[in-house]
Amino acid sequence: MAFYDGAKLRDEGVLEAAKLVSLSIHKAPSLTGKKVVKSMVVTGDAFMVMMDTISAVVDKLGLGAFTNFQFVPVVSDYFTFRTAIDTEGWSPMAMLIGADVTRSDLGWDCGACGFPTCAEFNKYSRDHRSCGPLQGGRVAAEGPSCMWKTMDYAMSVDWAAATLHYLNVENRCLMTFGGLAHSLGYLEGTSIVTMIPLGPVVEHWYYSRPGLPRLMGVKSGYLPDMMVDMLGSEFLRARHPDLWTSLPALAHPWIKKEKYWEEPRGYASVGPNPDLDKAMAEVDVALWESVDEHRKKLEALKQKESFK
Amino acid sequence: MPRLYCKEYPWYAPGDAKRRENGVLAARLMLNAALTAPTTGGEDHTEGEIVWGEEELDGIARKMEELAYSLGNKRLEDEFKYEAVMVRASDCVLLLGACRAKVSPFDADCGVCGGAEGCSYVYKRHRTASGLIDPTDRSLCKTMWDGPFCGIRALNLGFGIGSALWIASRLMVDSCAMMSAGLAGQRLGYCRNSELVVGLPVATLAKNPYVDIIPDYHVLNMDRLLDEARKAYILPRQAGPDFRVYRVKREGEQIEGEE
Repeated sequence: MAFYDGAKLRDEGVLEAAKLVSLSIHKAPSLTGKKVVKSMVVTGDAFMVMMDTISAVVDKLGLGAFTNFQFVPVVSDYFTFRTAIDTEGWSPMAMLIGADVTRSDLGWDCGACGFPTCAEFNKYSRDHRSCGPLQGGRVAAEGPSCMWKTMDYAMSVDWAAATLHYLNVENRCLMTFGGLAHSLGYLEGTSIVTMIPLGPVVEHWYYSRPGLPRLMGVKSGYLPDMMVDMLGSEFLRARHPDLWTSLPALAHPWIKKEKYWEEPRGYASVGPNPDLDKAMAEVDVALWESVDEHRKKLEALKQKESFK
Repeated sequence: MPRLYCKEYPWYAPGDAKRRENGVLAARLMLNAALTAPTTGGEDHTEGEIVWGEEELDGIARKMEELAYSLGNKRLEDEFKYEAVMVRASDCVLLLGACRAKVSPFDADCGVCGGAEGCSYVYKRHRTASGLIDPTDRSLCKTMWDGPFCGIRALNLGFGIGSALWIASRLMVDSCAMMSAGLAGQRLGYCRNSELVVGLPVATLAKNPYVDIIPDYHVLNMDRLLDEARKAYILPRQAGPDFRVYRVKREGEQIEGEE
């Protein structure tokens, strides 16, 4: 007779699930018959290198620096992880799945990449391979990509997520932290990486993101004004002012809001925004510096910790 | 009392037709799985179409065979011809299309397509108007596919294909992803909003028709060899005498008039 702690068993179960997910990743079907995919499970300190990379930027520039930027998703994921660790006692664990899809060995000459032949694509790729500008231009995937190899890779990611779903392990496919993991050099020899966090094993952690209100100290069932502004009509109005225009026949229609007639008129405009460019460049540089610094830390960790 | 009788041969006999309906049922669930697969940004980007029936499948197979020659691609010629045989052997074909792959990139600067600022790798290589890609322009395409496509849309189509094949494997039906069937389907007007389409034939046969394929399979497939057997058998048969007059003497049988 014995007593087993259910929470402990759950955590052990997640590691067992990671093993089964590894099977799915490499067993997943392919379209080309030439799929090469890499995978890695990261836990503890190996996971925290990614967290530290982002936290260094947040600490340096403050949370406000990220508002209205393309960095919001990565920072949002960062805080979702942070609260999982702090409030759910989550032992961080994630699956990294990567592949190099910037070279084609298919010889299909199909044109899906934009070039008439695979040889021309490969030449362009050799000369121009680079990250997209998303998340500072270094924390993303590299292109150009063979579309069929991309689909092959996606099938492995999909099978990983499906396996976790069947095993009741909370998960979400994240290109945000996948891009970060790629830039930090977790999976060498890859052009694209997706991160799938494993747990915490609770309902919809990465979808309803219960961590965010907890992070902001929300005790009641009401959202603070800041979150209403972040997620509600202010958020939408800033991004899609056309949904709130008054009579569009006017040359400069008002952008409406609650009791907008009592407020100074607001208008949307299209044009350069040097202040925004400058602020974004500041985050770019901070992120690059942090990635460069933490890449060295990861390398040292890889040297110290042997692969299991 | 109603009955549902299934037997895979003779093909398209009532028992086989019922079996094929089961394959279509599986394909419908596979389509559901593709539509609910993970998708970047939660955007609706996939359309699907299921094609079944002897005439319809033959139409896709014939288009694949036509493309095998007209594309002039020696690397793909056999693949297209072999896979046309597989489509004819299938119960149905599920076509999945990425309806935003060409005309509506994800616009996230992610770099999968080519890494250029503002997703311009894609935008610069297509005709545009007012900053949007012109969907009517198909004339510039000199290749199989009118690329370049948005890498995120291709990635998401891959998620959809993966989920569809996951359900197929759970339902114990055979399926695989084919570029050839997708291209033929797209050229025939299936998945009409998509410039990037992949075909997933589905089969409920005793033997998985998509694996264990021999060289020259477009000729050495069972359909063709059975037909050869029908031809080869019929000729020597015509030398047979009148069976009412001449009988085969069975062992121990005494024939009248013989000693």
